Amino acid sequence: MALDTSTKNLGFGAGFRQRHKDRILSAPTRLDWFEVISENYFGLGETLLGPSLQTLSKLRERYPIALHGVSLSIGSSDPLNPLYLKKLKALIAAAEPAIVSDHLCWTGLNGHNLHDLLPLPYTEEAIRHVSERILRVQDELGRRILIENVSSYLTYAHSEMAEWEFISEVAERADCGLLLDINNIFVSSFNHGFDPLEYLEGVPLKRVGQIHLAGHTDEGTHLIDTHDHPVPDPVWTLYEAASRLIGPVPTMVEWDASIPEFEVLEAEALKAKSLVQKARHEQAVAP
Amino acid sequence: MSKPSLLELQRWLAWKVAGAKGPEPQPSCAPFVLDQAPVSRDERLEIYSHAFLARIVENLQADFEAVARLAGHERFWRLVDDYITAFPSNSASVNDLGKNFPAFLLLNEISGELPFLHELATFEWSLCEALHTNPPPVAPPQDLSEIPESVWLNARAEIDPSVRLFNFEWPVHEIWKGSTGTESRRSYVLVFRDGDKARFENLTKGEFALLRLLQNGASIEAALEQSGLEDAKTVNEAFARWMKYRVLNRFDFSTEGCD
Repeated sequence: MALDTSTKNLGFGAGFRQRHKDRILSAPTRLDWFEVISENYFGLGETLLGPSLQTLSKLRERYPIALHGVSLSIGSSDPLNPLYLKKLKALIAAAEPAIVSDHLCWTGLNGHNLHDLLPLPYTEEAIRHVSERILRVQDELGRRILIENVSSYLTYAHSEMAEWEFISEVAERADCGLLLDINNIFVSSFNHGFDPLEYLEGVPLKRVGQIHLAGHTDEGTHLIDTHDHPVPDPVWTLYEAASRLIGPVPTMVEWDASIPEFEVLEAEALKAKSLVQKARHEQAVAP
Repeated sequence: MSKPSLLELQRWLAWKVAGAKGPEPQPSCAPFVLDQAPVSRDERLEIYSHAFLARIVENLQADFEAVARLAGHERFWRLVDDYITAFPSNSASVNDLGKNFPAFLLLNEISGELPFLHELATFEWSLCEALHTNPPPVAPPQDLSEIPESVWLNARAEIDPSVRLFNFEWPVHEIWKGSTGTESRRSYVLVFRDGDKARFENLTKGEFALLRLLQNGASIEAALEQSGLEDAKTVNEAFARWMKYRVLNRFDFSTEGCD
């Protein structure tokens, strides 16, 4: 499956949230694209798609979109959920997204969904398990997906490698793309005491098809990935480093709690744009 | 101690995240979660279990705003904790989380103190369901201007799939709006989807019967007769309202059907 390079030039976007729906659909914005949460457009129970698909269609008429899932549970020991895949496939057919992504984690077991992004151990067993499942999902959907690194708050004693080595191996074996969440890298680096730049330099950058930016909450002894603040300065600094390494890649800002006026969110995404332009300019004039 | 398999680890962590209720799955994987200062192993696990419950509470609070208000903050958290233990989520979407909440409340001790609570939850869940019901396929508009009365009487109405009709023991819509001093009083409520909003209407007993009969496939004539609604003005106003809001989507003027 070839890397879909068409996603490379999507530009700068944001998460599409209910609060901003009327604003985004009623007047032009300065953003290039929007990311939506896939499950928000699924129907209740066995129904494949819900009526909010009408809103998604209106958004799609105006912007390219990315579908971002939270419940694929690619790392779970449960079998892949056929109803979930059927719903996602129907949504992809209806929405024609530029990007489809989910998280490198597990969200439930025994058919029960915990609705939380739970970390995997970084073991050979987990690599085999997850990469085989991503291959099956990509076959089922007929397209490449991106997997996102999650924030984590615990370390498994039996992990056999660093997180970036784990992600790299999964991506290589599954031949999938990466959604690099810069805030998650920063949060996890703080919580586990690793160098975020080493992480960035350790992942296969050619596979990065999208970047996430977000804010977090500083609890003093640890950081929590809350998506309820502006992007903090250290995350911007890490993003600048990432954009120098990776080059142009679709970037978006997530803001899921204490959601501000749309213009505040828009300004965050435009800040990302200006930082990338600055980095490109500096690279161009460097001796 | 040999390292746990992925399944063993997930079985243990799922139990821990969901509040460590019931017997601990074996082997225990606690030793495989590092105790790293300055955040202890228990604190690290607590981050996940707190986030789990907080997310469920947040979503149910949005779907059952009035129930949450009447139960109070701490009690609502406890209710949700008990609910998600009794009815773990089996859906990919948080939109499905509340489907068993009204039934759960009926059997919970809080219903002794707030006996209307499960009806209130039923009402709030019906608003969510209406909002998530797909509209019927678009059909060509019907010209209803010159239909003779005899044809009208034999017609059957197509009710919008979002429509829910309730015969409650309590004035649920008043409680939902914040009314206090509640006394048991029967109420008839229509819930339906209007564009991207869920709406409700307080019905008379006759209007409720009429809509219920139409929903069950009765002809307009039979529904009018059996509902006991006799005042033509009231009937005309109700039909006009329900057609305006597409509660009644279309009419079938063929003579087939059963009364």
